[in-house]
Amino acid sequence: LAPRLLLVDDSPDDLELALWALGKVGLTDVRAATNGPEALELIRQGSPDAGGPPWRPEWVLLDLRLPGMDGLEVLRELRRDPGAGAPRVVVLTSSEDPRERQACWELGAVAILDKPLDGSVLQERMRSFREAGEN
Amino acid sequence: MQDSGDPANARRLLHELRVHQVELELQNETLRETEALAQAERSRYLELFEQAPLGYFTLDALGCLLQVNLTGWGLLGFPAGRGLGLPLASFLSGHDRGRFLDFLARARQNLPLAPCEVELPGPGPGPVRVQLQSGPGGAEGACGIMATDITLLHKALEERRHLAETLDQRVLLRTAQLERANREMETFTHMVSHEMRAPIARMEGFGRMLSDATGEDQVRRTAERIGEAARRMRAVIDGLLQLTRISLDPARMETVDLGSLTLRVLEDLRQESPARTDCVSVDVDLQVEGDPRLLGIALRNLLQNALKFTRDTPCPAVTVIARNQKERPLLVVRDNGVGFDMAWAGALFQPFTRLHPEADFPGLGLGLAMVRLVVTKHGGQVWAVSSPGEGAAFHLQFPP
Repeated sequence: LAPRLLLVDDSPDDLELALWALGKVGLTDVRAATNGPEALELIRQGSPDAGGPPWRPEWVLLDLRLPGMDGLEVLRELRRDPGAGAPRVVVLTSSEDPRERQACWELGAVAILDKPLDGSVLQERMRSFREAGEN
Repeated sequence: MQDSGDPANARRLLHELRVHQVELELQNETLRETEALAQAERSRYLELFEQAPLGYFTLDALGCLLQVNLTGWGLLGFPAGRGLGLPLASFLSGHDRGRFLDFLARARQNLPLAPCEVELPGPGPGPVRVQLQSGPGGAEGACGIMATDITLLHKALEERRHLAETLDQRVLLRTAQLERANREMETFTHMVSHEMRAPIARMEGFGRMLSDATGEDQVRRTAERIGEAARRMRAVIDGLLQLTRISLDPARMETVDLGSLTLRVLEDLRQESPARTDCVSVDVDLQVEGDPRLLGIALRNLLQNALKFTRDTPCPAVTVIARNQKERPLLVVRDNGVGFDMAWAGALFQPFTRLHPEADFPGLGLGLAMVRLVVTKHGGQVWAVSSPGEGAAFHLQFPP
């Protein structure tokens, strides 16, 4: 069963590229949000799913540059109230600002990946976290 | 008595008397000369005493003024001679008086004495700072005091002390300013680097996609996206160059009529997209000192901004109003567009910052950064007021 992923990015191009990269490695249970509040609602409330319990992401792929509430603010909010699912957050960025990266780690991101997303690199990270969780 | 009638005797006596008389006259002459000399010396001494650059005070046993030279009267701020008999302490402030009386007591007992610094009324509008020392005493029970005007020295020392005391503070302040400028510069550099990397990452991503693409349509579509990313990259570079030019070019100040400048900018925008500018009304009656080219860039960006965010408003309305308010020129651009959440207002004027998804309102996020740069360059301030769905008002305030 493919893990449930939430993509958060306001650029249609970047969303399309990430979806394509995820699809290539069989990660197909993916939904998207284009801003912080929308992402937080999906994480905390879940989204209605046909016939079953609400869909909640296990992983969040988060862009840092979002209009209004930015990615760091989303991380801060999730740290305050992670919601029932408490998903792991992977930051996706084109930035190399060390202070920004440091802030991501401090706010609980489990990985920081460069854009464009490489599906197999993400899968590798997810596998090592799963294994760490099983041990 | 037997010789009294002797004429020879009488002649000798007369002669002796004449000799005595001449001697007495000579002695008299010498005395007169000596007295004249003494008078001259005395008046020379008096002149020296009166005109000396030091103030001299002779005080009686109670500390009252017995004798004061002209300089001394000047220091007391009193017409010469009129204050004799007054206690010197009565010319001092309560703060100085105690120290002076201690000083005076020690001077009377001939104890070792450090100079005493006090303030006196002085001849001018402000008080003078003087240094008192024990001086030539005069008669029994009296006491001599010399006073040196050290106002200038005192002021210089005070200034030096103040400078030394505030040096650390000034260094700290300047360091903090430089550190902040450095941090802003660093943040800006990272932002620029991010904005340039983003389209490159897209090109790389679509390049990967392209090598996987099947079918002519998908190949063409993907190739177009690469082209778009390259155009975006160029726009970022052009925008940055414009921002840099605004920042570095010296402003050419002149009196600018904001009313006609606004109409000119509006006319340019009308040429570019005729339909959109109909909703703009201009009520500007204001002149400011500024660079017309830079102010034009600011107005253009503000109007473009307002037009962009009223794009989907059913009855769009943009107003430009400018007046002198409380003697400061104020220009307001108001729209009835989508508005924004004031929680993010602080980020509004940062370069490459957006409050709305780029998919909805395309742009680089540099327009308002340029506006702020122009207004700051004119010594003014810029701020925005809004709430979501309620439109926005951008305020530009110029120095009086």
